[in-house]
Amino acid sequence: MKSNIILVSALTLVAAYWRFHGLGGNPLWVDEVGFGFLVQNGGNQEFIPQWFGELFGLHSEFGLRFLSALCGTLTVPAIYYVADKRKLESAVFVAVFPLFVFWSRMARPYAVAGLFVVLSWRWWWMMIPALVTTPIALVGLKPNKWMVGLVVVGIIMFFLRPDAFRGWSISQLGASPRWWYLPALTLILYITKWKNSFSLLQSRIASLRT
Amino acid sequence: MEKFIFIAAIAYCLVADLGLSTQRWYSQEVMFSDWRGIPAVDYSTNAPVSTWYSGHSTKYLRADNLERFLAEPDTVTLGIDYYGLTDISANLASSFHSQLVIDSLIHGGVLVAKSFHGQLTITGLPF
Repeated sequence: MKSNIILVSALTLVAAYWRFHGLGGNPLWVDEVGFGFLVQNGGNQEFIPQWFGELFGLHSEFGLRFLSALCGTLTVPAIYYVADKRKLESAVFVAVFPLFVFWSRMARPYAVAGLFVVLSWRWWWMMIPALVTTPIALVGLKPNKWMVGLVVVGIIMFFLRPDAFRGWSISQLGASPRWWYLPALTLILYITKWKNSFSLLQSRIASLRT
Repeated sequence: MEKFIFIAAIAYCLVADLGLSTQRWYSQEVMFSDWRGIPAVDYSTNAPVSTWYSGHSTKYLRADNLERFLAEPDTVTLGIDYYGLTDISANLASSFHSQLVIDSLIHGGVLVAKSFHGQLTITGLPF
């Protein structure tokens, strides 16, 4: 038990390094600037990061990205605490998986929501701050097979991201770099059986018309 | 076998993480252009970022308002970043003959130009 605590602490430090190292180095990109304007001028979305930014008057690159990096780091011990099995493997994965690290280094709300989503698997009401941060948090409502399916799709998408094909003949197609979103969405809709939901919705709308 | 795949995946992740501090990593999704220190311009291919860093409101230069840009009666200043090489900004920077300029834009540089009815004169090279 004690050795596990030491291991998780070490992992958290590794996670912190990947997330905080050179955090303010890159300039803000367009979506981060959108968040910066939210902090500066107020708005009705991304509430928790926005309130945090307003509270501390943040507007530098490091400042705007700080909460994401902090929450992304804290997700490592959180998932260790919340998971019932494969605790250490989950923590290792969260600590170094590039997409988690990447969004933890951005002035975007996803890593903040991610921390609350993970905590909501133990305390349901943590979903409230997650949803207040971004409604996308609904995707992680509970760790059931559909959510796991989405994560698997995300991981496959990561390893098959268009960069992987750079220089290959497939990149000569001239398609949008996000061409793979459509098959990904199709797969997600298939896995989550949205077709049934749409059919139900269509029949209800039809019954309203008559 | 399971352990081997896990360790291989984590090793791959660590290698990918090494590229996080560079602008190349995940460049298909996010394009960092360094507008820090760029003076206020009238038009920009990345108006929100230009406005944020210069502190002055900037008009977007996009393909759908190109005519308005060309019809400006006076000389206007224009900030061009990577988006100037894309169709969304009418691909206006692709006509630059200097590969150095194009490479700089691709790698996050920002170019400042003056325009009179679309005749561009570069006044600041990409950083």
